[in-house]
Amino acid sequence: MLRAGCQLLTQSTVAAKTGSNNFALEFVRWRRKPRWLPVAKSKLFRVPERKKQSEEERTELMRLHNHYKTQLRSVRQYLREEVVRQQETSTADHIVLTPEQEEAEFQRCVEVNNAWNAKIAKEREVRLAKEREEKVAYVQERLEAGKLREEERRERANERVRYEIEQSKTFITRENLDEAIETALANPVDHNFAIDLAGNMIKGRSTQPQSN
Amino acid sequence: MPFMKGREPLRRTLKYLNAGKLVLKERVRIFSVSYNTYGNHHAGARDFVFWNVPQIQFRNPDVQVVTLKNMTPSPFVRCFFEDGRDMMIDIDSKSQEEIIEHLVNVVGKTREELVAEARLAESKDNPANFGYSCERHCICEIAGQVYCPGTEPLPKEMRGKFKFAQK
Repeated sequence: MLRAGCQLLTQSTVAAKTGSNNFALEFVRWRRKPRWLPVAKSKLFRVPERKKQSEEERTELMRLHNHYKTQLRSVRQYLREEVVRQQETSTADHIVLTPEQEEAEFQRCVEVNNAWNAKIAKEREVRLAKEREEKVAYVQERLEAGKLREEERRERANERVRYEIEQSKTFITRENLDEAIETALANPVDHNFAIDLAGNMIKGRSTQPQSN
Repeated sequence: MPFMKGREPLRRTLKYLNAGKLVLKERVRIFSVSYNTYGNHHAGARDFVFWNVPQIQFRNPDVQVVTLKNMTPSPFVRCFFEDGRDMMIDIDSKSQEEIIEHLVNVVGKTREELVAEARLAESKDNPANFGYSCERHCICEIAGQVYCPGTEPLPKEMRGKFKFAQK
């Protein structure tokens, strides 16, 4: 307020600087000018000369300034993070969701899961189709192998039947029984034999070795 | 069980049980796995039950964990929520890692939630802490510590008035 007043004062007095002003602000000073007094009339239009800075001085100052700013910034950031951390640990607000948020989260999970299920269902369809094909092929193969086996068995049985029919021509029946007995009696067979040390078989009961 | 006996006793070590990634959401009440002991497309589910179900049980003590064997043509996980809804998760011909990853994504708590909860638990649990939302408001509540200066003046050797007094 005082400052504004002073500005007004100076503006009004600029025109009549050398003349008398209404307030007659003249002070006798024995020591420093108090802060609340306006600039002295003798110093009013003095422009203080800027200090000349050499190039290296300027760069050095700039370096220091940058260092200082960086350090201050990092300290401030650290403190800010510490506050955030403190707030996080002291309350559970940020992890507790409202019912709507929870529901939305649940719906998101359901959607993700549905996509996953659909993908697996497709893969399973493919797998099942492949398995079905393999099963069909396997059954077909087994059926054919069985047919082949059956045919072979039938063939073997036929062979056996034919063989038996062939054999049956020489069978002894009731009709030719007497004839067969007579033939057998007429041609006695001696199954006895002996073996000498050399391993020669000597057939018959009464046969004598050739040598000796 | 005796120590380090049986099939893969590693599963019973505290470190392994604590390393489980799946911490179920609060709303999950029952976690059931259906699988068969045979069949190639159940292999991942079998591995999952063998390796990860102990971890899930350990990290979710309030959740009922059920395994249903040889009752299904294709393996699946079914989660029942506290509001009666349920979620069916197909795990047909998926590997153990894929299954656990998907479960963490769908019915598990997120990493941020877990970290925050751990922090919260830590700040509450640590008896050395004092201040707001801790067991004690000030260290002066501990016997043997310096009293709060508001309650009783500090010892003279700590007070500037006496420390810097001219002799």
